[in-house]
Amino acid sequence: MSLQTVPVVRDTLAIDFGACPPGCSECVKACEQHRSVARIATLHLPEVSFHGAITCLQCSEPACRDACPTGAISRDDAGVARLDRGRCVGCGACAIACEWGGISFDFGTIRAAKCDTCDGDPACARACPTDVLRWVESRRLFERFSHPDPFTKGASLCPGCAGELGFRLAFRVIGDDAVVFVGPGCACALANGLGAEATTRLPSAMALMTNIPSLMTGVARRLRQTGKRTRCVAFVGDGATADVGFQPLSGAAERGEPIVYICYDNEGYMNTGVQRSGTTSHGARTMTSPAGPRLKGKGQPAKEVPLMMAFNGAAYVATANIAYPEDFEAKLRRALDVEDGLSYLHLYSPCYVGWESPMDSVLQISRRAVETRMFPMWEADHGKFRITHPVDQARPIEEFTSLIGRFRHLGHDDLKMLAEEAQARYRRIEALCQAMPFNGR
Amino acid sequence: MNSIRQHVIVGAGTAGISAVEALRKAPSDDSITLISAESDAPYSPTVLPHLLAGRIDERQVALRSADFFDRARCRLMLGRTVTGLDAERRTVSLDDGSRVSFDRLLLAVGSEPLMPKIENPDRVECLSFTRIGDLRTLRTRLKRGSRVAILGAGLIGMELADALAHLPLGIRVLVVEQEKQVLPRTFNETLADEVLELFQNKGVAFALGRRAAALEKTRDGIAVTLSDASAHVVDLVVACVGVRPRIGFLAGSGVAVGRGILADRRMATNLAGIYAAGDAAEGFSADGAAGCHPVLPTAAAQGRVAGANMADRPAGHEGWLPANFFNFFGKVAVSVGDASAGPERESLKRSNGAGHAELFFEGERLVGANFLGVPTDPGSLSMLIKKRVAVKEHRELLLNRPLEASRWLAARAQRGERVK
Amino acid sequence: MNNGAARLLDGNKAAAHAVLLCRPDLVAAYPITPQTPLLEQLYKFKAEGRLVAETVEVEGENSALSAAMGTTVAGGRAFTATSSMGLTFMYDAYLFASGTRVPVVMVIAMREQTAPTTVSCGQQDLMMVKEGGWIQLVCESCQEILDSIIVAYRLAEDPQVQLPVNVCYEGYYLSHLSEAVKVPSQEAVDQFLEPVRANGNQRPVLSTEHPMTYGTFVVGDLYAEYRYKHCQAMQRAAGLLDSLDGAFAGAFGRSYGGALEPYRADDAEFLMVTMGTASGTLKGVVDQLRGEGVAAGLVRIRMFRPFPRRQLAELMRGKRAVGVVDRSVSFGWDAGHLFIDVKAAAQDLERRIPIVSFIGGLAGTDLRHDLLEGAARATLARGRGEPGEEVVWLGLE
Repeated sequence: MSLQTVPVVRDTLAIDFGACPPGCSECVKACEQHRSVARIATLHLPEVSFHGAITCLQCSEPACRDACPTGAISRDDAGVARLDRGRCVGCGACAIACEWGGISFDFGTIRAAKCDTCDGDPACARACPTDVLRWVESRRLFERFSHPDPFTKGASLCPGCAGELGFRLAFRVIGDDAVVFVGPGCACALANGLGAEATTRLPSAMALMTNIPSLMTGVARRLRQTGKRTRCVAFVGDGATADVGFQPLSGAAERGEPIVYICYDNEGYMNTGVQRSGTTSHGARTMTSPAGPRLKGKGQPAKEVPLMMAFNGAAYVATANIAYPEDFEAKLRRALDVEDGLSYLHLYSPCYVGWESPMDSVLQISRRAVETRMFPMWEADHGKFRITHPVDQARPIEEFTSLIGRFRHLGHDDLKMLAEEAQARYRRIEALCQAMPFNGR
Repeated sequence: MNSIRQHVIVGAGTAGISAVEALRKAPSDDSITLISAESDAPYSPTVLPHLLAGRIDERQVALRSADFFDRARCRLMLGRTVTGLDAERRTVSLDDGSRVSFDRLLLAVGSEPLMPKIENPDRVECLSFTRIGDLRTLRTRLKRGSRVAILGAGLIGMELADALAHLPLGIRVLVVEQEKQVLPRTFNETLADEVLELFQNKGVAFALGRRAAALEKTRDGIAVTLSDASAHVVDLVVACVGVRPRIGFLAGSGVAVGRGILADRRMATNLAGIYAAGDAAEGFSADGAAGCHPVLPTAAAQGRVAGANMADRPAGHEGWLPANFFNFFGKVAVSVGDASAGPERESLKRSNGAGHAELFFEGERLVGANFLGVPTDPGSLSMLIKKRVAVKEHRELLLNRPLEASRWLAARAQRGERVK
Repeated sequence: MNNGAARLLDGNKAAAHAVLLCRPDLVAAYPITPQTPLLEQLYKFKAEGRLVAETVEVEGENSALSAAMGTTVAGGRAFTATSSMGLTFMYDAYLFASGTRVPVVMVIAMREQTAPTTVSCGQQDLMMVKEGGWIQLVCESCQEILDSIIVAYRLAEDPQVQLPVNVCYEGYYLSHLSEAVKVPSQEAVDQFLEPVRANGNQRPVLSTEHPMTYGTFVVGDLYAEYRYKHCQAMQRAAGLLDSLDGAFAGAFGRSYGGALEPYRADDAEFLMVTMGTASGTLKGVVDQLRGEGVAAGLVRIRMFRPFPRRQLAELMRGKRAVGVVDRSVSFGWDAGHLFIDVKAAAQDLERRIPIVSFIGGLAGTDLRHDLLEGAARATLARGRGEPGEEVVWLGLE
């Protein structure tokens, strides 16, 4: 045993924050009845038309635990931060430390209380008359990713790689009736074997930077000829997708080849030691777009490959982000369902090495990319557009760029420009959604 | 890069333990040694008044469960005081003459009580109240009807006064404070007066605007002479005038010190591989001001940052924000940020028999808040202040319903997306 | 014996008929002059319902070969064709196909290589890929094109070979030249290809039943093993072509001599060596010189890679001189490409003999009888001890 944070999905209480019916406090009543002191609160603020429920989010590194002077709060193996009320002295340190409104301080007895999920059967969720409170079991979540991981353990990828996470999750959805295609790049470490050793139990092919969709075309046509439903799925980086390998991708999309092409976009040629690619963000510094007195990182905005694909005959196009695995899963399933053309998924996959960020930062960066509108989440199903994760109010761009070392040289004006470009990008997708709205499949 | 490192952490308080946790977050075979001057399992001094008041007993205050240090593969050296640091040879020396080598070092050595400048020709024992040993001493000295003088009405002094007033021993307490109010720099005058009244109602006596000038042994006990020449005879004197970083042992080590050990936002000192966190560190506030902030949540945050950096996972401390929470005789007093009036500031106040609330704004943002007897969420308020969230539009809501409104505003800012 | 009904077909159409008879599962090609009519003929067959293969209208040559590779590694049979710049544009896939041992068949309708830009005949494009690890067959007639494609599949898919094969013929001179071509019956071709019919089920293929990793990453000793096995397979292919030539003769009544075709070579005083259509004219020159009492001889190289160096050395033994006619240029050698190979093969001879490089017929200019006769006489003169240039550009003022 150790203290390492094991990256597994825990059972969790999901709250659709701000979707409560006005005046409803069934959850609070249920919690009170069940646990004497309510550990969930409702915020009914008719003045601002807000009605929502709030409770502990069960942080992986609970600040409340760190702040508790009596060691009364501990995080158990199920990921639940538990408060031993017998050891609580009412000092309030936990309530100061938690910035998420997760401590239910009882101002009557002057002792803290906090949600312990009723050991996985929360009374509040049972009492909720709407879908606002739901107990999401990781088992259920894993039913979405139910196939066993087909790749070898201990691949030679960097620990904390977003691409690896995406690759493994993708095939836990896709399953074994697939041929996997990679290009020369990081992802091939999982699929192309090393010498005489295979690294996956799936049939796999490492093609060239320049021919992946074409090789897939040949394989897919043959499989269909022989009556198989085996899907050809590519998991390829942005270099082979957006730049040197774009031509065959464009060709395959235009021809309507029924292949599934996932581009894991780490915004650079990372396997060769971090050079700029067509999808590298404006201003990001790389070895071929360095920052110095006369250069400010990459001088051009990223090319928008998913949009290019949407206008290049692809039947289904979606952007996805590893910080939103359920969304990724849903889009992947849709991509697998589509048989009348090419499905293209553009998976945002920060490379912390090339982005000069901490090893454990890729999920946070991924999430912030969405929240700052740097990376809009949308899909285009046969030419019908919709935003799958609306961001009405973008967070300040600094909350994204500050996580990423390769933006460190940028000044206030540069960041402002980045933010404006992000807004424009988002609005462009919004405009497409308006012009070509999605009304169901 | 991949060689195994030896991490040594001096001080087993909250900062030291948070650092252990951060160090062990990522897989590595690095070794960790935690050296504590105390013989007891790591605890937080915050619990002392609560122990004294009997809200909890000593067996319940270990900061981490018994198996924590095993799980963390952390070697514990208890009862050893670090007496010196040789940065060149990368060793620390201990009071038993031995040395411990390190590759990376965290100085989380905590603080030591300040002693007031006071005439004390008889060398009257002046207790302090920052360690569990102090508590044990105090307990053996306390008798039914003891008269206790507490020097200082700051955080520790007031908590001690509260605890003593709770004991069913009829203890008579006198709190001496040179400022004209209790809890100076924590509460503004209005709320301080309210707090004062709470204490006075429980029989605690105060001598405000005065300081203790001399102690003398008399037949009847200890005579405390104040600056206004009044004299008060007591049985025990406890100095609670504050703490200072425990940095004496660093003299000549090359580690830069000011008031505390100077540390940047990564909690790194001027010497490579040497970090500081907690009470001993002179870090930065959320506003970027340098200073020591010897309170528990800050120690936890700084320790976490130091540990992460020691493990080569770059992290920075966002800066501390003053935040305090008291339970005075059943009434909760909360202070967050800088709750003082100023030329650029606007304040908003609400007061009735049950409670008081006062908010301070600078431009669009909240900068400080005081509450007494009003349920609120200090964490959410801290977030709004630290992240400089524009909240003025909802100032009335925040004043009238601080618990709900602060949570709503903080959650909205945290999510950065639609709040329906 | 069914040697087929004779029809008037140009080289591209003859190739298309051969492809039809070989029943590929996929055809993918990108149009380029002079290969284009071959592609168009295949689509015509498809429209008529005669060709049942998948057709892929790829966006470039690299994709054409890659799609063909894809179907082949999935257990099918594929065909593609190209010329000149199309060939160099697919060069990375070209190397990948041979290095991963994909038995695909590709026609090269040979053409000069840009620049200067031209669409005319030359053998320069083939020379650009001669070190690419493919088996390369070069034809002399439209009939040979048809026959070679059928043989190429048998050769490529043989378990002892498992290598891609190029069937090469000169642009216009063969691609657009109509000749009487005997088109064998489907039954006869099916029967000839029967030994490799189930090849797709036997060789390792991308399938979920027996998953394999294709294009694996290799370092160190294993890499050398890959290369060694590739070289061994090339050599086995050389032997197999000779025996297939016999089998083909048995089935269809036509033989081409295997890796090379000697013409009046045994008792010759000197030899001319060439590849492709120049051999037809040279045969006339040989006959003419023989009529004059000069013992001229000719060797036509059919299998350019692997190069039949030992057989050629055997034929050169005892000759007084060799003249090599090339439709290509090696810039570094300032000579023809075939010349270099012949010169290297001659190293195995006990006695040094003069070897002359004749470069001509570039960009579709005719290698006329008079030019080649001059070349032959110059070779003879060198063999008889007269001085002369080592490299002669035919027809260049």
